[in-house]
Amino acid sequence: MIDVRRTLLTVAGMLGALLVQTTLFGRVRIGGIAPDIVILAVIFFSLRARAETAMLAAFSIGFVFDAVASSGALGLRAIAYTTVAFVAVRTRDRADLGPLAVAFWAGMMTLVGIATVLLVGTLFGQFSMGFGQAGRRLLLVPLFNAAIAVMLAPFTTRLLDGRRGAIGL
Amino acid sequence: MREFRDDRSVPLFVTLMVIAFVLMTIDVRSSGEGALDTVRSGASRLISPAQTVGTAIVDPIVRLVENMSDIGGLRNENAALRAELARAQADLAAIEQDRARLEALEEMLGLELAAEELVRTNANVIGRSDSIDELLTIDRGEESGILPGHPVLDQNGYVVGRVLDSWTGGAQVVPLTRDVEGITVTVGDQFGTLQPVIGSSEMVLSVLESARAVEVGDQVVTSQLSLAFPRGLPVGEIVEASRPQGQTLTATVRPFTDTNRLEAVVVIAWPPDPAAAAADDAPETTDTTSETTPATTNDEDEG
Repeated sequence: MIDVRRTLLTVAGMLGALLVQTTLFGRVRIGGIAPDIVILAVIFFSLRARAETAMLAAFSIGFVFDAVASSGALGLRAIAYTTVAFVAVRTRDRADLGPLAVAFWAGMMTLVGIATVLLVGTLFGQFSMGFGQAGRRLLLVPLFNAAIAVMLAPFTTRLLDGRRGAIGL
Repeated sequence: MREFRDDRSVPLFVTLMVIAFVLMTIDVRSSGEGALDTVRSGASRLISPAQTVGTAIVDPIVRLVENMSDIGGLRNENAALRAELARAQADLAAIEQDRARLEALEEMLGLELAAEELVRTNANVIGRSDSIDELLTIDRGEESGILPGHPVLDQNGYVVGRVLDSWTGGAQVVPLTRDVEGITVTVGDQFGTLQPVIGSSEMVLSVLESARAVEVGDQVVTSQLSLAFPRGLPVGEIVEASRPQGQTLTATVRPFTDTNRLEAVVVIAWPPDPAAAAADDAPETTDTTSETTPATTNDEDEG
């Protein structure tokens, strides 16, 4: 049975993350690099949701991101975010160890997402980044996301506590 | 891991991957046309009002933080700006004299400056993509005559990029530093092409039949050979001296405009409508730029 309220909250949360990414983090950048809040939303959602739900949500928000705020091919971020959700659901038990573990785990999941975007984008001729530029993104975006994950630790702790009850939508 | 052994997540993951790869392939092969482009435009239309609201909320906060962090350096910057203003005023006086001479000569020859006749539309930047994809979203679109391909400048007249897509109420701009189509430019009397290094803020200039070296600080402007941009628009400057290797010269160029800090842009209706230009023997300037607000619309017909 689908919980309508929770589904609406998820949709609102994902779209809110997209909006924050394209407005706030369009302006606030450190060294030209911004955190990837949408990946972070996918990661946090995967902490609690069922695997299928997490992947469908990740695919949908990736597709919307591609349609709304990307000149790259439609489907690029859908692939990346779905991959993140798939890996995150399978490794979320690692995040049970505390705020630092959550931050490290969120950083690693972000790394998976950014690496997938760069890899698939390069294969499809969407990017032609040098090693230096790609390396900066692979290093800084996960670091920024890990820092934000630490700040959101109380929230993630509550998510994890909730997961010990019923998992998923 | 046992909990995943019998679940449906792996088949679903594979299915979603296949769907996404098929979508990507279709989108890449359709080159921005067809049903997927309609989906893209539709989604952009839906979210651009929310982006406008988001930008209206975020901008004052970001500006306040930026101003507070900059306050220590403001005094030095103020002194430097005063010195620069004095130099600029001296240059301006010289330019005014040259311009008066140019106008007199053009009047004698019956010439007019094409750039003066272009319709310009100011727009606010209301959205940006992530760190990988530097696409900008602006709050003016088809209703203001903004169409795909139109050149986009910053408020200083430096080239930002071109319009990728437009709809009623908004448009997407691809910056030069992300545009794989590149741009035809002139450095001194040499013609070349400027290509982005994606993810980098600098670009690569290639001159195929180069006769002489380029030096640091040499200005790169749009060429009369460019079909996408009016000639003479400043693009950037050479940041590393380079000499021709055989007949080919390659140099690094830093664009003048910083897309990370752009808040408003100017879109030029280019190329001008040839039919309208032919129908009107004495076209009038329809520049609608406003000094009071960065977002004004051209409300006159070019013809």
